[in-house]
Formats: sequence, C-alpha cells, structure tokens
Amino acid sequence: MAKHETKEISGWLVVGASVPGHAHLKNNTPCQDHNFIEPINAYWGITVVADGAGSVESAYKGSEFLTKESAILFKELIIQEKWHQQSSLPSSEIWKAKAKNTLLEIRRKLEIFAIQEKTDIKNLSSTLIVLIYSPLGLLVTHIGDGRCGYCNRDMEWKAAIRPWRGEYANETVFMSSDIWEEENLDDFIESQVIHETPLAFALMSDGCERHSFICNIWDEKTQKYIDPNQPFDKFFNPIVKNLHQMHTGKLNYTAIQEKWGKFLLEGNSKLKNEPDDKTMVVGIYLAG
Amino acid sequence: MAFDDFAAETPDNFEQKCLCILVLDVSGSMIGERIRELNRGLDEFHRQVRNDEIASQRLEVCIIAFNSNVKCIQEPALIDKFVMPILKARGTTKLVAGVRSAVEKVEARKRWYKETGQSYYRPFIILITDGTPDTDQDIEGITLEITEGVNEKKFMFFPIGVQDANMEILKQIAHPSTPPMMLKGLNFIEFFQWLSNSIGIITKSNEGDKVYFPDTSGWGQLEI
Repeated sequence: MAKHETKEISGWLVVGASVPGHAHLKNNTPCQDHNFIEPINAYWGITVVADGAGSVESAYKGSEFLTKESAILFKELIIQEKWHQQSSLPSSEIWKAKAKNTLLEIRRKLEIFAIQEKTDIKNLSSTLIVLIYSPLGLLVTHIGDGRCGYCNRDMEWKAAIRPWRGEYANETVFMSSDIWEEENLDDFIESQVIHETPLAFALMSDGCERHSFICNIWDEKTQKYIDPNQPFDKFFNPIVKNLHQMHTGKLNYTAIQEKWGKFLLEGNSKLKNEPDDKTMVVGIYLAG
Repeated sequence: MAFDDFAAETPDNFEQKCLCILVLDVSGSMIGERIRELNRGLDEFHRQVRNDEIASQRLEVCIIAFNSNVKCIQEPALIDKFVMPILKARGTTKLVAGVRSAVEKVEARKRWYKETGQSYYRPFIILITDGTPDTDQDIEGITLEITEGVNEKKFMFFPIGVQDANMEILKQIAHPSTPPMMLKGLNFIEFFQWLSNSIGIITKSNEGDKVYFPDTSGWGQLEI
C-alpha cells in the first residue's frame, strides 16, 4: 500500500514513504503523494516530496512525474555545477537563481506531460519540495505547502522552509498554478541554503505536519495563535535514534521500508486518523 | 526501544476552524410539527458532530433565528461549548435580514480569526425556511450580496426550503453553484445527519478541493 523509497549510501540512511490518509482509505481513492530519493555519490543526494491536489483525480500522476523529473534535473544541476566536488555550498543568491531556473524547466516538462496525457495541466496539480543533502549542509527549494526541517550538531531541530498559505486553511499554490508569468513569482518560490552539517533531516507533505511540527499554538505574549514552524524534537529524535539502531543492527532495507511505511500509516492514533495523505522522507547522517 | 517502535510523540496543535451559520426560520408558519422536527434535527446534528473527533474540534456553529426580528441565539462556538437551544416559532419572516446578519457574522468572525492568528476554512451559511419573506425584505439586495460573496469565495451559501417555502425566491437568491434544495416532508433529522457528514468531509478537505457531498436523496430534492 505504501510507496516506499529507502536508500542507504555509505554516508547516509534515507527512508521515505507515501501512504493514503484516512479519508482516502475510506473512499478507496489513491494516495496523491509521491516521494523520491536519488543519491549523487556517497555523501550527496536528492530527496523530493510532492503532494497532489485532492481536488483533481489525476493529481497522483502529477506528483509522481514531478518527483522523478525533479530528481533528474536537480541531479544534472549539481553535477553540472560540480557542487558535490567542492568544499562549500553555493551562495544563497546562486542557489535561488539556479533552483528557480530548474523549477521553470520542470514546469515546462509538466506542460508537455499534460499534453501527452491529453489533460489540462491543472489536473496534475501538485506541490513540490526538493532537498539536496550533503555533509556541508542542505539546499532546499519548494512550491506550496509541506514542511522541512533538520537537526544540527547541537541536536537542535530547525525548520528549513515555511509553507505557502492562502487565506483559507490548506489553500496553497501548485506547480501547475498560474504563477510563472507573474512579476511576483519569487513570492511563491522559497529557496534556502542551510550552512550547518545536518545530523538528520526530514521533509513531508502537509498530511504529516500537525503530527511532527509545532505549527498552531497559543502565544501568551502576543495573545494570538501562531505557527512557530518548529520541528517537534520528541517526534524526530526517537525516529533518528531508531533508524541508527536499525542501521547498526544490520536490519535490511526492505524491512526498514516496511516499518517506515507502517509507522506513517498507523504509527499512533493521530497519524492513523489523519484524513490527508501522508508522505515523509527522513535522512540520518551515518558519518556524523 | 524495539526496531518496530519509532516511539515518536506528537505535538499538541490547535485545529483550524470551520464556521457554519444556520439561518433558521422561526416564523409563525413553523409552529407545530415543523418546529418540533427542526429541534429534533438540531439535536441530532449536535450529537453527530460531537462524535466526530476532527469535526468537533474544527466546526464552529452559529445559529441565527429570524421571525419578525433577527436574533443570533448562538454565537460561533465549538460543538461541545454549548447546548443546542430549543426554538419556538412565532411572528413574520424577516428572511433577508436574517441572511444579511449571517453575512455580517461571517465577516466579523473572519476578522476575529485573522486578528487572533487562526487559520480557517471557507465559512458556509445554511438557510432553512418554510415561507415567503416579508414584503419589506430586500430580495434583490441580498441576491447581489450572495452572488458577490460566493463569487469572491467569501463563503458558501446553501438554501433549503421546507414544505410551503417560496422556492422561486430561494432560486433567485441562491448562487448557481448551490441551487436550493427542498426538504422531503419534515426530514430534518435526515438533513442534519447529512449536514454533519458533509461537514466531516469539508473539515478534512483542502481549499479548492472538489468536495463530493453524501447522497441527499434521504432528505431532499432539487427543484426544477
């Protein structure tokens, strides 16, 4: 049932799964999320999460296409720029420009895919988060909602991006949205360079956010509800610890995949009752 | 820690809010069986929403009753924060004033959500009436307000007619995307069961999603 990606390369163990939410299970509709993991070398790799819009039946095709194409094009970018052979990450300005150009190329490919599928591009609506991991830090870019965070060497969990929200709850933009000709296109694309060695990272669709991020709490100081966008360490630390144990215990990848997918599907009552589809990719740095 | 136990704890986040305003006709024509069945339906609605773990934390119900006057008898509140009032019928039918009050309530509540930093779903207004609006009611004005409000995605509007309701007027004020429905007999319980199921779906959906509402054949029919 779960769509899994699990990759171990010598420097990292990266697991990912996409599972249907409670509402989709009840209605027997397909999971609209996808994820993809693409190593570049022993220490560098790409992970992608895409969340297909529930309003369109073919969104799962869009999210699948986007994850695969993003992995291909961002891998080409890294190899072309030789970032993985250098001792520092690109500057924020360079990453923003390169990420934007690559997303534009992915959007063009999505348009072609829509024509091939004889469908409107809006029927392939999906958000997108791309994360490039390395021992030097992280490169992240995204369109839409979802969350992404990492753990640094001080064992602090921090957010890497902030989801794009409209007026209403869960209103967001997609790769298929009419934003690409807009003068304010940069308002819809967030690209970040994290210059800290990550001990772990996580990226996810919004179906997981309320269970793993502190994202809607009452703030006494401002007397308002706020979204601290804070990864919940009591959620992530046991996962990281357990993945390390699985690695040192020589548990095979297939078994880890199954456990990860099962955890997202029904790991606790909140995850089990989540109506939305759930995707989460977690990576741990084995050489850290 | 076992291999099969990630033992991850989840944080306590507040839920986003979904405002549902019931605009209810309690004019003299509702006296008797109609108001009794409406009250029974409201009780059923309260019970069903309370039993839905997610909807009960997200749905804020507001009740506006209209007859010769318009009164908000239940300010927006989560389902477990209030006891469903027992409605009594009398007087005339200030329908437009009741709906206009709901539109104003939507705007006020959205302002409050924004001021307090709360995220929310698109509110919806449900009108239930069995009559014809009083002659002094501004039908054209409310039609424009509803058209504009729905087109600009400020709210959704669902008019429901009961027995002797003037469906022509309901058709006029309704937005084309949600034409009026006629209640079968006095099937209020079936209607409110449907409504709580629909709310369950809405509060679990994403904005912009096509929402497939449950079958309405148990309580309603479209007027052609």
